[in-house]
Amino acid sequence: MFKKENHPENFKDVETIIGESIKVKGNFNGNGNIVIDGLLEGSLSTKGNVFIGEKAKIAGNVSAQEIIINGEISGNLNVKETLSVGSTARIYGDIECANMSIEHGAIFNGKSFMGKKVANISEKEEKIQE
Amino acid sequence: MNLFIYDDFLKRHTKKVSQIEASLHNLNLSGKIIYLGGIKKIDDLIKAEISTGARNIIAVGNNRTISKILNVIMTVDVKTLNSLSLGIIPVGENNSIAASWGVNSEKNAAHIILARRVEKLDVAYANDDCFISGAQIKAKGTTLKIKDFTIDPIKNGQISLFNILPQKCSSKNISANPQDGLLDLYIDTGNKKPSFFAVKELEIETSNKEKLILDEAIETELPAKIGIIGHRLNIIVGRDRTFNLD
Repeated sequence: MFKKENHPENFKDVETIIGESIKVKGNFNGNGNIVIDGLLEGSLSTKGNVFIGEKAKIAGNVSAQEIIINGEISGNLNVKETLSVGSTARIYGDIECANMSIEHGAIFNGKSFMGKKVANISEKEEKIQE
Repeated sequence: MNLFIYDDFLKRHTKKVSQIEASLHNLNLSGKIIYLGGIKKIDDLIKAEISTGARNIIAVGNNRTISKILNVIMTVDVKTLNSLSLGIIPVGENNSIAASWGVNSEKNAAHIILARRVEKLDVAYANDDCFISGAQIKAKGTTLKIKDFTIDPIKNGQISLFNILPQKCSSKNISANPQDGLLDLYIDTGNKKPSFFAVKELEIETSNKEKLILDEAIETELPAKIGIIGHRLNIIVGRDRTFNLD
């Protein structure tokens, strides 16, 4: 039922594509939309949107404006607006987002913090600790 | 003043060279001619001509000819470089750079030089060598370092860095803008979508003996530091050639 939403064509003007047969290690910072179909070991942060394909495997945190996930992530997702979780998605980590949709069959093991006020919950926790 | 630099391989194309010279004569395009055959120190020769007033440097040959000339003129001071323009009269095979500048044959090249439509393009470098079109290397065994991350292809394929896109790639749904101060990095391992990154600087290493091929003309040893200098060189381009796709 969410197939249309979980398609990367929703993302125009893709700035970066991490394709199926490459491995990226380290911290990646971008400004535009990013498609991940390959392996990422490290964090990814962008002011744009992120599409995580079915074959993608991520070990690290991802933060973006919007995220569509159909692949696997062992790490946290920090989404300013909408997180769309496809049926093939496997999420092993926490989620922070304003809005979320989860398709039947998706795996999610972690905590979720939702709503616009909690989108920056980790920053607030850090400030309290200070 | 025009300076025509004829590559040494043109000895095999005497008929075409005669036709080119006739076209230039008919269009009243005069200038000094240098034949590269037998000349070892082309750097000194080209620089001497520039110092005596040569401003339109016209390569008569192919990608290799452009590469030879580019690597000389990029060593002159910036003020002089800004006063120069580089053009091409393509002859024979291996002329993807000329095509990417909108110069598709030796027949229309003379008219393009006469019209002298100039675009200022970015120029890339790999260690001490310059290139204007692109660079290629096999994917497997190659590591790319960009800022805080590395990229390792895990399948065979091709890594391409484009400043200007050759015509043969135009059907692959990829693009490159030689006026944006960026190199477009494509890693094609046979999947539906190649990997893509827009980069200003990167380092390339290899675990085997592969070399980086610049402009389909020269080889550079690895490891190599790659970068791009924005809006650096005036190029004489075809009438309908536009680069900025935005």
